[in-house]
Amino acid sequence: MATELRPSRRRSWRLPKHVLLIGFGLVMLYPLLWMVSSSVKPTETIFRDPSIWPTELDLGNYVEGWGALSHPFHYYLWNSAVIAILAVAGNLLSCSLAAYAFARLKFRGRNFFFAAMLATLMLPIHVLIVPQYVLFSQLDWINTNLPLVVPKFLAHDAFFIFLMVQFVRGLPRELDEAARIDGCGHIRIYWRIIIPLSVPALATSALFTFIWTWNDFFSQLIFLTDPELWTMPVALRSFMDGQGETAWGELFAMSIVGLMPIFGFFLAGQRYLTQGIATTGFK
Amino acid sequence: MSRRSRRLAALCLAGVMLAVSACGGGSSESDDGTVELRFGWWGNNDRADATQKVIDTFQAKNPGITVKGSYTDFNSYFDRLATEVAAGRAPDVITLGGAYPREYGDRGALLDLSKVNLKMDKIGAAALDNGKFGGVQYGVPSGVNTIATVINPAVFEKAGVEVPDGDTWTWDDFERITKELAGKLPKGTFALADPTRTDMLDAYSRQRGEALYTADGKVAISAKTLVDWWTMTLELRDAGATPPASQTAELITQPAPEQSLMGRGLAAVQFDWSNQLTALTKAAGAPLKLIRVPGETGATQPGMWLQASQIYSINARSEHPEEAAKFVDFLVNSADAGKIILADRGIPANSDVREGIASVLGEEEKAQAEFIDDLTPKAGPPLVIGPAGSTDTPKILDRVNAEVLFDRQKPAEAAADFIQQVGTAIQQ
Repeated sequence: MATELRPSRRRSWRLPKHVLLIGFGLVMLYPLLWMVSSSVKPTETIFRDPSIWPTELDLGNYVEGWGALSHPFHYYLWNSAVIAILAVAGNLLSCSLAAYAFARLKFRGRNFFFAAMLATLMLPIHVLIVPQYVLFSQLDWINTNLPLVVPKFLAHDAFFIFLMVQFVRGLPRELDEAARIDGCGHIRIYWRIIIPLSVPALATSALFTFIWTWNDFFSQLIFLTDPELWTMPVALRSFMDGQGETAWGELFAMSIVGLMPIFGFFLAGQRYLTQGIATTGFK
Repeated sequence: MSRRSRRLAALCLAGVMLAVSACGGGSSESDDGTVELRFGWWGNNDRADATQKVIDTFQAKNPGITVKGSYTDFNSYFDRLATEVAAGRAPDVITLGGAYPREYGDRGALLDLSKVNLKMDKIGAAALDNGKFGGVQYGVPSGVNTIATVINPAVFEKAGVEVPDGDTWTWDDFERITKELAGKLPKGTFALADPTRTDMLDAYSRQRGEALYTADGKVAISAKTLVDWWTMTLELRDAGATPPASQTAELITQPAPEQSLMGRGLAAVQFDWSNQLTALTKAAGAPLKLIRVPGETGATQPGMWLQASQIYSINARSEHPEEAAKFVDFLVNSADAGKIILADRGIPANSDVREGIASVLGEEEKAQAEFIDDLTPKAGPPLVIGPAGSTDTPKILDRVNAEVLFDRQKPAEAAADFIQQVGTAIQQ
């Protein structure tokens, strides 16, 4: 590793530094570890016995939680996966197209539209949700996946457009020009030149879209009222009731199941996450 | 254009077409003339199973009406309802509670129930009053509830302190007993969690002939009452009867019964709603007991009241108000529904239904029903439900209470602050 090559006069620093970092990491990780340990405890003892070490390993919460709702839990995971995968496909396609236009094409009002797009980043969901709801309700899209998926195909996530615009701006224009001399139009330049070179930005967008859509609770709660359509985060809520009894053990167990895909995606893609941000942010 | 890019262009076009073509509003009447009602409620999965059974029974008896339930947990339910009401697409039958019926009623979202055919003669008058504002009945209670003192006799016994008599104990007794407990309980166990909550301020101020709100929607609680309250809670904190301020601040963020001190077996006393008894008992793993709040006898008037635990109301913009009324009627007046719901939505407010299910209730539900029956003649006047905006009061109280407990505000300043902030929140 890079640090190994450095002179060893910093070596005396290394131990305290690592102890500090590991300690800090454990503190940040504690809530998650606590949830893991609570998921193997019987519900009654979760809050009565706050110790992080479970006295016995009881996987009953996983078995019961999986079948506790009106559908088995994988039904909700599948619903979430469908939305998340379509959202990823939509964002990659539409945001990269929009980004190509902003970064490479000259058209009237480009700066205005770019600013308008950035401005939409500032609007919190609570401002948007009522007009959106009215619109989708008029289209009769409530209780379908359409409100959650179609906007993604219409370049609705300004954050990713911005990310890709920054990335595409950093690609050398000479490549476009060379392609143009060889007879490429815009679509082929986009498809043959820009897309293959933008893999880090695309991977970052795909990862973030997946994580955000997978974790998105509020809009899925609002648009999917039919229990048949529930996604994982909405289904998790039916384990609990702020006014009555909550099946905490099952809730925690299924939360951990719900975390797994994200954890997997993150492990597989964290290289792109850091790379994508590092190469777009500082251009 | 290569074939691939052409396909790409077609896909984009399809997306736009999809967005443009799919127009036209939805009608809730299907082709064969059956009416579809939407029923919004909150709760967990167990309640969902019971509710679905009620819906199935209703549909079997009323061919031509189908009911589609939509539910989520309490907090999310009100987030979603706010959006749906704002967009004019709320469910036909809406479940509400606390100050929400008045909030939505005042905003014109709820139907005046005198316009539909709905029997209410068997429903307890006090609870029925919780759905009535400005002379208009907006909702029917599903069940009855009351704020009460939950006692854990095992903790009292461990401390060697006698359990108080709910019919005679005063606030002085309450202070004396909790302080005595504080001295005798092991570290980490408390006499009670900080008792400051809007429901308790209601009870406390009503005992003095006041209330949180006046009937015409103003703040009614006096600064003196608030100062007396906070003087008492500060003394309890200093005596170690209630947890230190930092722990109280933590507890406020953990509202579930299982997370409360009582639910963890770490408190002798807790002020809570009577219908929480089942969940609290299960969580604490010890038999608990309900008694009345302190100071009821010898007060200007009793502070406790019968409260509708949940209220069924009908969307003012519903296309099928008569069918919706039929469903609400079934929910609250039918013995069949009562036998399925039992005490899950409070002890049934309909006296016939309550009698019909008395024999099948569990031990804690039976204790609640007895407590409510016993309280009914002793309860104070119906509660004045807060006006629109008053759903913010609990948050305001939490903030101000934290200032007091952390010694950043004196009770007198806090009282003035609270009255001013609530006044602003409910101003229309």
